[in-house]
Amino acid sequence: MSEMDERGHPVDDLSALLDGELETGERDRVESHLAGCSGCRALLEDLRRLDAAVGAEAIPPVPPGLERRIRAGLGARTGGAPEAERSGRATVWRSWRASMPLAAAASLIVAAAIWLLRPVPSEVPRPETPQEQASRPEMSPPEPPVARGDERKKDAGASARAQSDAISRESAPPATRPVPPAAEAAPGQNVASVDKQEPARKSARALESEAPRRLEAAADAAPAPVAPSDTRDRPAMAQVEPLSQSATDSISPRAAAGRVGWPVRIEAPPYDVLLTAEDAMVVSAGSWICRVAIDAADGRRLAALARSAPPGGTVAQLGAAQPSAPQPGATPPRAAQPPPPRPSAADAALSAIRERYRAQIEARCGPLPR
Amino acid sequence: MSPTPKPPGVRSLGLVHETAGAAAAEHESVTESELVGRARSGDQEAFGRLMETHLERVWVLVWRVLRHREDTEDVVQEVFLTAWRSLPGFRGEASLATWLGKIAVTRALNHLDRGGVKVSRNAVPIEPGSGDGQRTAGLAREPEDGRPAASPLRVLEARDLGRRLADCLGRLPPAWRAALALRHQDQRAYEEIARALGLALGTVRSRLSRARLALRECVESGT
Repeated sequence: MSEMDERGHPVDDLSALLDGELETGERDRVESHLAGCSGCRALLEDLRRLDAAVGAEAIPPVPPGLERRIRAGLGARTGGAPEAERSGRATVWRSWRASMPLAAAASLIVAAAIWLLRPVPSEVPRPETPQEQASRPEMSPPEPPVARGDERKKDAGASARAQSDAISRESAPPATRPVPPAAEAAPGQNVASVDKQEPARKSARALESEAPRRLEAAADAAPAPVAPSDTRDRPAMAQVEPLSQSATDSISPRAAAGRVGWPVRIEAPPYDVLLTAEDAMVVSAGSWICRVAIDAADGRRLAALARSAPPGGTVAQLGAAQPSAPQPGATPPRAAQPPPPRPSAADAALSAIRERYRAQIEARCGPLPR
Repeated sequence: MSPTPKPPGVRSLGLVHETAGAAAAEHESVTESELVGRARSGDQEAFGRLMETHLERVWVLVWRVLRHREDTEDVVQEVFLTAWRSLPGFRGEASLATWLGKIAVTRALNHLDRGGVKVSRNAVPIEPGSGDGQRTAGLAREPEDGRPAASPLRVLEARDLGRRLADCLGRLPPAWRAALALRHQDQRAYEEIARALGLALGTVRSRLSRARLALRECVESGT
């Protein structure tokens, strides 16, 4: 499957080439085209650079209390959904449950009254079954869910969303997603009722007013993801720069008090290295840049080394034992050798780049710059 | 030296590399599949440890689709509660990370479908444009003399690139963002992305290509 534009450039294949997803024949053909087409080469380089920048984007850290809140919401698995999931807010559910007997009795009375007083048989709209939803062609516009009612449509900003829907109709999945054909379908397909008790903070007006601020924050959160600079004259020491920290501060002091943000930057001349939360390493040198997936343990080890380096100091200095003052008359122990210094983050990064991941890097982005 | 591939479902828990002591050693010795087995039979502590391992990755994946911290918090919570409830049906044919990723993307997109759009609400969405225009847009500056033209993207300062990128990503159609997010997590193969999104392989390929070309166009134009 290969696509050319009307001028014969394999533009749509460049993304797949970047991802290593072209079959051998396709790849040969595209590479042979690239050899003679500077425009396509430039486009490929742009896509590669963008890809690396996307991978290095600062992501807000996991809020410190989230794990605890999820644990608290687990409850015993008794075949039904956990309490917190049904309402999204455990406390709301608990208070609702307390009034359950009364509510049930009231519902029965109302239902009986409606049945007895019904004027004429009517066509009651029924919810679409999953089979019907699945049979709906993907090209057709998704039915707006009940939750997206009139008050949302009144929002000025909603027109942007509607426009987005119209634009992405070709590719956007329907509102209630069909179960993927995989043997193990993802649970969570039918979630239409989960947020029926959305708290007031999610009112359309509140969202309207906070959206620009959050967009600002998201823009501010963008780090200097690929900063190819000439670092050859700098000493090979770890310059720790948790890039998302300042962005985190601007987003939420609570979040800032949590984990150190990703990505973590290591200057390892001649390379500038970014470690991302997704276990990827973005290596740049001058105008060359490359992003490769790395083993999770390697990423954490490098990040830990980088984070443990004091500003302006090396990890080796930090790791060296401070000699204690000798006791008068005591013979200095011969075996009191300082422990071997740990490698600096820069050294460890260089080793990872040049040894452990060299093959992946060069297969993806060409020869490693010296 | 390349990293040793691990069989699906058998993943050593690596989150404790930065800590020392017996607790860490104990963490290391339990495989993910053992914890899944225990969690499946109702062991909340085992599930909690699985969550420790996967929370950050699920967080990143959902954030990349929603690009809103509070929404991400809500959806990540839903993801793990759903996983806990559904774990008895998890047969381990895919890795737990893949399974969780599928739940995460589905939940995130459903959240947007329910009207939880915040980031793109006030932003003008990227217009994918007609197919032909889109394809040729990337080569509009093709030079005649065979030398590559200076791409505006390449002369952008890194900080400007980051800002524009954040803005443009927020304006991409969410389904495109989801494909990009899955691709950027673990460099997933198209086949795996297709399974997670319930799409044909060719759709994933064209969606990723369009998303990248649209991003490039958006970042370069600065609008």
